[in-house]
Parts: sequence; structure tokens; C-alpha cells
Amino acid sequence: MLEVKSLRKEFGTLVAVKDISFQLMPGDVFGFIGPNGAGKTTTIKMLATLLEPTAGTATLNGIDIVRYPEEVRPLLGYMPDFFGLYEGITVTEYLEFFAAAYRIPRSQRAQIIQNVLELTDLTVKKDAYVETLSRGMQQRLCLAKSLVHDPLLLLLDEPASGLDPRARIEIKELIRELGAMGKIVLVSSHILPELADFCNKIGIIEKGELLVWGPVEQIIAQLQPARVLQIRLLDDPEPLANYLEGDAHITHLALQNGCVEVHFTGGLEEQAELLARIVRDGFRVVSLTETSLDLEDVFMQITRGEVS
Amino acid sequence: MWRENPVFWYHLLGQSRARWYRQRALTVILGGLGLLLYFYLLVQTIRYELDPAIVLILGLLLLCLLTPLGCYALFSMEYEKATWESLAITRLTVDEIVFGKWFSRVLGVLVIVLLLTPIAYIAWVKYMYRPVPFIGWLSAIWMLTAWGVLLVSIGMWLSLRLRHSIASAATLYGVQVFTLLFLPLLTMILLEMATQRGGDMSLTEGMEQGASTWQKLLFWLEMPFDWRCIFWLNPFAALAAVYPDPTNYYLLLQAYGFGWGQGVYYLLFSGLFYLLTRQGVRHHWRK
Repeated sequence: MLEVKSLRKEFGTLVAVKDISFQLMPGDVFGFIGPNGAGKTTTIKMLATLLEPTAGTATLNGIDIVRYPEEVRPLLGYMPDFFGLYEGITVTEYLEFFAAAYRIPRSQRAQIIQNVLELTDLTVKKDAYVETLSRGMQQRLCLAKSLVHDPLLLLLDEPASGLDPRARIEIKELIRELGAMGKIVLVSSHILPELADFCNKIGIIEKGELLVWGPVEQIIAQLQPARVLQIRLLDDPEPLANYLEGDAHITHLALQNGCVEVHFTGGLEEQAELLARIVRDGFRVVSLTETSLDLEDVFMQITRGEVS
Repeated sequence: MWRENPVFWYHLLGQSRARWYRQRALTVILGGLGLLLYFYLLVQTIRYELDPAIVLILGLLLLCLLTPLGCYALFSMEYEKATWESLAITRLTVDEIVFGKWFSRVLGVLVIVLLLTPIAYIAWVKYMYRPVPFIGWLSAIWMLTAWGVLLVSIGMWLSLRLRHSIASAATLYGVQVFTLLFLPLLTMILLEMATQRGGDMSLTEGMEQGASTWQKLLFWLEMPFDWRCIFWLNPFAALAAVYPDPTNYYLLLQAYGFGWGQGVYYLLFSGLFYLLTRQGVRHHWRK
């Protein structure tokens, strides 16, 4: 379990990260969302034991990352947003380098390297020189390197930046798989649709402050107390808008793209009754669709577009 | 410390083992050419009576030129290629990282000195014009090795501090040109001016034939605080002094253990820069 407690980082007078706290369990894939300069990378670097927090701490499986960085390091894998690879060596030699650096016994290295190559789909490139790999493959190799010692926590800082659509999808699949393997995965990104696909928890950071964090559905439910229903009619929607005005369960009503959009606070029972009533009173309903907020809507509602 | 140290092996080999196998023809041709050149130099040394001092000075020049090439990017490349974070969070200790990088380059220095030694030895054996005691020749080899080690340590430290390979290479060469050439030249001009005005500033002032061991030791201990260190700790000047003419001046220098003393100082400075590097990595990489 990763428990972050009031983590704070100051650079002189600039407060880059303001007392953020959250907890993650094995299997959680946590999307760390925020605009550029919000403090995502600083937080990740503190969790990766590369930067000392000004105050606060975090524990991984009960081990304090500030007091015992050397003990925590074998438990974490880190993929920086801007990373490089040792050149002039093959993919296998590169992974051997890190396997040795993580003190994996020589007798186990070949098998472990084969496993991570398979997991990251790099087996066909095992004898290629790292500098000849495409950007997407280099990303996967960097991820493979972070996995050789089977870490509990994976810190991935913008893992899909600069990748083409195919490589993006492949990385997403891989992260989903890692979560299913029981690892704690913390992924930072400012590209929201890509996070929505595989994160079960999110945290939104702005100006160094963690504005909200928790399960995706819970956050959406908090931000969207009413369900948004779109009713499309065969005829002019305006009479229906007039008809619905004043309904006890409707908090907001608008005409949008030829539909009537309402914010409905009632339950499913009331929703069924409303639909039956509309049809009974002669409105020719083509469809009733429920739209929910996505991560972009959540992000726009919560943040103010400020950086620290 | 080095057997299972991937940092050491990566820096020692510099590239994939596979590349040598894959480019066998190129490896054989380059290796063959290198061997031929080396044997040509050996034969020339045997055939002609080369001055052993010239051979050693050329060897020193080679060290001054080649050693920085190997160490100016030891740490800066980690920053330039953004690999340091990945390395810092591994289980490698600060000693394994620093020693791995340092020792791989020190081995390079030893290879250069080892290649030079047979040529220098033949030159020493064949040269009859100005006989030199074997101990003098040995002290020169010792000093060369120590100078190479010092260059590695300074280069490694600079590459950590400056974080840019070009800057650290330029500084390393610049420092050598300044301390080995400009500073002694400037001092010589000032000395000449002082002598013309009636001053008496001798390089051997206070040194006397038949001095006790304690006096000699004191001479070396005071060396860093003496203006003459500009000359005596300069390996080119010291190398010339190691090869004495049978004159009182050179015999006096030899009696004071020239060559050995400089070597000890180079290793002491080398240790200082090594420790500074270690401390820097420990602090910046949170090791």
C-alpha cells in the first residue's frame, strides 16, 4: 500500500507541492492529472526518492520513503517523462544492466528478461541496439527496465507523450495489464481521454494542490448530483421544454442540438415515470439518452487553469 | 565492487559485446593496424637510440591528450542522456557507481602506461649517452601513472559538477594548458625579471646534498605552500628532472626522490577529487 501524507515541496519561495495526501492499494491504477507546471513531476520525483520533500512523507508497504530511500527503491519502478537509454548496447544487454543493478542473481536474469520482454512485446527486438528502436519501443523498453525487479509501485510520468496512436494504445494496454497484476500504478498525464480508459482512481492537481482524489465514478458522482438526460423528439422540441418546466425533479432545462437536455435529480423509478408520461401526453419520443461527465468535464469543472 | 558492477563493465567496454562479433572484419583490421603501429614503434626504438626522456615526455603528452577523452563525460552523459534518475534508484551503492566509472578509466590509463613501458624500457636500456639509474626510470613510470589517475579523477569530478560534456572537456584541457604551460612560462618570465634586478630565486633553494631523510620529507610536506610547486609538481618539468645528467643539480633532485614525490601528490589530489565526486553523487542522487 502507498500512503502519501501531507507531502510538500518548496523551492525557495515557490511552493511546488502543497501538503498532498492520498492512499493507493495494490491493483490501483491512479491517474495523476494536472496542467503543465501543476506539480505532478515534482510529486512523482519525491515518491521515486529522487527529491527530498520539504515536509510530509509517504510510506510504501510501511517503509518511509524519506527516512529509508534505499529500502524503498527495490520496491519501485520509475519511468521519467524525459528519459534516455544507454546507447551502443542491445535491448537484452540493457535489461541485463538493470537486472545486475537491482542485484538479481545471475542464474535468474535470463528468465526474468525473457518475461519482461514478452510482457512489453519486445521479444522480436531483443538483439536490436537500443538507439535503433522507435520512440514507442524505447518507451516500452524503459518500462521493461522498470519491471525487471518486479516492483510493487510503478511511477510513470507522462508515459504516452510523443507517441503515435498505435504506440499509445499499446502502452495503455500494458498499464492496464500491470494493474491487473496487482501493482500500484501511478500515471501522470495531461491527456485526459487516455487516462479515462484504464484508471480506477484519479487525483487532480493544480498549483501544487491536490484538489480532488478518489475512484473515478465517485468523483463524477460528486460533481454531477443530477443525471443529464437528452430527449430527442420527432417533432419540434420546444413544446416539450415548456411541458417539463416546473417539474420537481428537473433542476436545469435547455434546448441543445435539437434535443431537450434536462438535469434530473430523481431515481430510476421517477425517470421511467417521466418517460411514460411524456409518451402518454402525445410527444413522439425518438430516444432518451443519459450522458455522464467524462474526465475532461471533471477536470474543467475542478481546475481554474492556474500553475504554481 | 567491480565483478558484478554493471556500471564498471558498461564504461569499460563502452558498447555492446555483440558489436565486436558482428563487425569482425572491422575489429580485426583496426586491431591489426594498431598492433603493426605498435611493433613499428618498438622496432624503431630498438634500431635507434632514442632519448628515454623524450619517449617518456611523449608518453605523458599522450596521457594528457587521451585520458580526458575517456573521462570528460563520465557523469555528464548521465545528465545529457537523462539516464541518471534510472541509475540513481537502482540498488547500486554510491561507491559502486563512482568506483565503477573511475576504475574503468584508470584501467585505460594503465593500458596506455603498459603499452608505453616496453618502449620506454628499451629506450632506457639502449641509451648509453646519458646513463640513468633504473630507479629513476621506474619513478618516471610511477609518476606517469599517477598523473593519468589524477586526470581521471579531475575529469570525473568536473563532469559531475558541470553536467555538460563539452564544458567539462574544455575545462579539463584548459586547466592542463594553464597549469602545465602558461603558469610555468609566466613564472619563468617573472623569475628572469627578478634575477635581472639582482634577486636570487633558485629552484633548488634550501635543498642540499646529504640532507637527512627528515629534511627531505619536510621538503615534500612544504611543497604545496612553496612557489616552486608550479614547476616541481608539473609532470613535464618533473620528468626532465627524473632523468639526471651527472651534474650536481640533477643528482640533487634525484636524491630528494623526484618522481616518487610527485606521484604521491598526484595520487593524494586524485583521492581528494574522487572523494568530492563521491560526496556530490551521494548528495545529488540521494544515495
